[in-house]
Amino acid sequence: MIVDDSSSVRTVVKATLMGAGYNVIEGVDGRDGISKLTGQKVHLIISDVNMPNMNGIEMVKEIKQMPAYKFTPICMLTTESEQSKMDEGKAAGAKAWIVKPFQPPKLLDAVSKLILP
Amino acid sequence: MAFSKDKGSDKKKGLCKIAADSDMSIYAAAENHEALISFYTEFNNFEINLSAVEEIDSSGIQLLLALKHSAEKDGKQMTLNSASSPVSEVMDVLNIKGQFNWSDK
Amino acid sequence: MSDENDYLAEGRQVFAEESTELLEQSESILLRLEDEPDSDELINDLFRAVHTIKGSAGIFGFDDVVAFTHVAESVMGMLRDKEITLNEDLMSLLLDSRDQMSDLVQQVIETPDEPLPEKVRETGDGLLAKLQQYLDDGAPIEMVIASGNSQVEAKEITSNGNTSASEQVSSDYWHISLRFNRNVLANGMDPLSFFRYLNTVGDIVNMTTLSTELPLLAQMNPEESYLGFEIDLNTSATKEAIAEVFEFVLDDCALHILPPRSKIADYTVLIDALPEENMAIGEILVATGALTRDELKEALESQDAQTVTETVDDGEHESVEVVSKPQLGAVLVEKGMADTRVVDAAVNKQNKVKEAKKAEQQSVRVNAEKLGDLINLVGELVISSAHTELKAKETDQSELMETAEHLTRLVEEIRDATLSLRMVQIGDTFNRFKRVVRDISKDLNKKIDLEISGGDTELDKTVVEKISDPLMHLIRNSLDHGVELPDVRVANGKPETATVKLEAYHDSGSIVIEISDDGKGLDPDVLVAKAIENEVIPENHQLTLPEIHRLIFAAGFSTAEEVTSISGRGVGMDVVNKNIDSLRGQISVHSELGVGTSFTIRLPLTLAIIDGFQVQVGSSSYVIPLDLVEECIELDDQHAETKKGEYVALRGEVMPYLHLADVFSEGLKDGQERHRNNIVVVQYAGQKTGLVVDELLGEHQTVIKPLGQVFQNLKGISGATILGSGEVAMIIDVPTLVNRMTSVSKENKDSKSFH
Repeated sequence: MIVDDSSSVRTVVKATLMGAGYNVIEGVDGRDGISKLTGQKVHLIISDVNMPNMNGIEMVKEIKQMPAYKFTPICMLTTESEQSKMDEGKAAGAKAWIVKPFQPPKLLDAVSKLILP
Repeated sequence: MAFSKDKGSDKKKGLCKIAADSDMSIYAAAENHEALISFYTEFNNFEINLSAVEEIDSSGIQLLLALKHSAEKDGKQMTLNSASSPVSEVMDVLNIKGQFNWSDK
Repeated sequence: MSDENDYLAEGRQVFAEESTELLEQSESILLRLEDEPDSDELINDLFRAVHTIKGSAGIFGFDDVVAFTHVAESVMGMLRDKEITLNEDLMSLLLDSRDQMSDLVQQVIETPDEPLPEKVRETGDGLLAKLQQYLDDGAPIEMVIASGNSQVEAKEITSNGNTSASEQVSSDYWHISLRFNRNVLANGMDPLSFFRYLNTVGDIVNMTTLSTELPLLAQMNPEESYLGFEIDLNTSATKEAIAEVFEFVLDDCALHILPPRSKIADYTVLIDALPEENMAIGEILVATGALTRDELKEALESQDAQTVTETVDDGEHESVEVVSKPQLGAVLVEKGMADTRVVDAAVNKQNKVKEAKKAEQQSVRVNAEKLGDLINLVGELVISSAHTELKAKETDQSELMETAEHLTRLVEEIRDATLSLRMVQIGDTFNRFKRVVRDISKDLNKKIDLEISGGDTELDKTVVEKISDPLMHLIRNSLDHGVELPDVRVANGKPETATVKLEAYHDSGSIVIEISDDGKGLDPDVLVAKAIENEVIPENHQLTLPEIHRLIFAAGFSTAEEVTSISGRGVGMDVVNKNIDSLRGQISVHSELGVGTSFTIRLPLTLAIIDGFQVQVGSSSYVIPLDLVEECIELDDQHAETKKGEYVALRGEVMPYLHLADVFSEGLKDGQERHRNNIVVVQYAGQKTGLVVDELLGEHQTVIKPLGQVFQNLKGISGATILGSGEVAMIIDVPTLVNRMTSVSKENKDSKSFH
């Protein structure tokens, strides 16, 4: 699942992952991400940090409380200037990160480190 | 769900045939662990059939290894059989097949 | 599907803007580096800019850009890490590389689906070969150091009599030792997926899963991780690349990576560091082939080496060495881990710097069109509020008048703030010329310093954009024709290195840009001869020196005795003059033979709004830019009836004046009486001129509406505006009128003198 308020980022991520054979669902913000998540089997959550309604950190905290998803790896999309946010994200339970702007191969690298076959 | 006793289990002989659950991932680890503990106290020979396993990760492997440790310490028996392809794959990656006794090989 | 394409197209647009900006930045950084080659900050900025270009190009799959940028970035990385130093060759190479990146970016944006043109590819290959040399030269050194180091150390230790532990193990594989923290599974990280990824970095030759830390079934927490792994990896990847595989779990694991043929001592320390029993882990290492049994023996023995050798060695000196040994060993392994930690710390620091920088220059990108719309609206608002104030005054209600005045004040503030949005510093444009000067002076074998001042002077973005080309031309001109060759300069008693100055400053509502050189100056004889030859002026035409100098702006005039590749591009100074005219600006030239030439360009700050002085001529209203209005005087009757081109004495000075009614053929309204007794004195470029009008109506804020095509050739009018009353008023183009005035007066003078 990709959660990002920027549709172009979602598009690039989705296109890249679908090209590699993954199914992708999209959420436009933290709140939407959680509601889209519910009932789905998700192997990886990729999320932006700064989003309206519910930001990525809050979303991670909430997901980590959900029994069905608490072990799901979460990868934050950060920019290099968001070091403090990244630490916050790690503390919340999002241990992986991709620094924006990223190249599609980098995204796929990160994903394959996080998803079991 | 979790692990279940198979029909062939024989309390008198202490033989416990266990059918592994399809889910041996971290999500099922707590349940599977609980089931194994309950079997462990009742039996002393464990045959685990892994044919139904669809998902297995490090936590699943750990459970099997922990059972093995305990069995070795307490002089109990433990064998595995019928590894499904996900189990085989994971065991190959970790190069761990040889650490278990296989009743079908 | 079409949506996706849209997003990508939109993304590309952003990429185009972003990379153009970054490339400009890179160029100016490179040029600044010439002056401050040791500035870590500049080198960092440069690296980052190029890095970002590479990153975004990657997102859009612009592989050509990525491929080239990657190599350039690597060299810049070496520069940043001080593996190489910046010399003139490298500077040229980096500048050329920047140009290549710029070409590549342009190429992929304009024709993303076409292969690169041969020329671009060839240039790129040439540059890549040169860049690669730096990488090749640097890399082997690094490797020599790495292997040399261990040999040197080996020898040193040998001389200390402790041979065994310093020997290299025979294994050709990397050894990776991993112990995950308990919580790694709960974090959604599974070692398995990292191993799967590790397989893409190299071949896992050996994998041993350790469960020694795993408690008994009843005691374990099934959601915690207890496993450890010893891995032998066959790969040509670097240690960093291997460590990167585990980047997401670095916080959650103990990772040791030993390169092939590491010293036994390193293994000793590894064995020590691992939680398992030494012998057990040793056996595993032997089993996996990381160590031979003999090597293991030596490794385990050397753990006690400290005490053993201490008793064996009798020299004080030796024992000191030996006592320090375990620390040395610890340092070695620390080093192994330090790589990542040091990198982390460095990254942290960089990020902080970056954050600070971001905060400094936080900006929002706004479409220029939107800004244009806003400025237009603000213009309307200004007019409306002026109208409101006017109407309020008519009512004579003091409260209403007060409110209206307050409103007007606020609107003025809004206007200023809005206009300032379009204001940019001219420095970026100036800095671009550093490159030009640098390249051209090399081509011409001249030595030239470019001095820039007033780069922080702000003016309207549209003006900045349009002034860039004329400035470029003037500078090329100075370099090519103005500045002499070094030996000529020395022979003339001038310093070998010429100075070209580029200066900007504000002066009474205009911005002034001066380009001056200390070159040979304009030769009036050559200019006149050339002008006559090119039929710009008739023979025997009498001209003052400033007029001769201005000849260079005449159409069809070129002073270059040979057309050079630098400035002889078919565009003459007449085009420069026209360009500046179209900006409502003025250019003047001042030159002294043998001393130098300077061009002074005067430009309005903005093209959008001016403070105007409203006057009535006949039945129409006109607006004169207030900046140019000096004063208003009365014209006495005897002068009032004379025709155009006359003079009036203004405090002992003779000033030409002009009847606007005649200029614009304004008739009178029915019953209107022609007053013709007011002169508005305007001053432009040091020249005072009187404009005779019928009535003075006062100050008026004016939003310039460009004239339609039909009026484009209307002389003396620069635009139109809508008055508060809804009436249209023409804005008077003072520079043109002043120019006309001087040429008219010239003719009169001439005709007088030739009578």
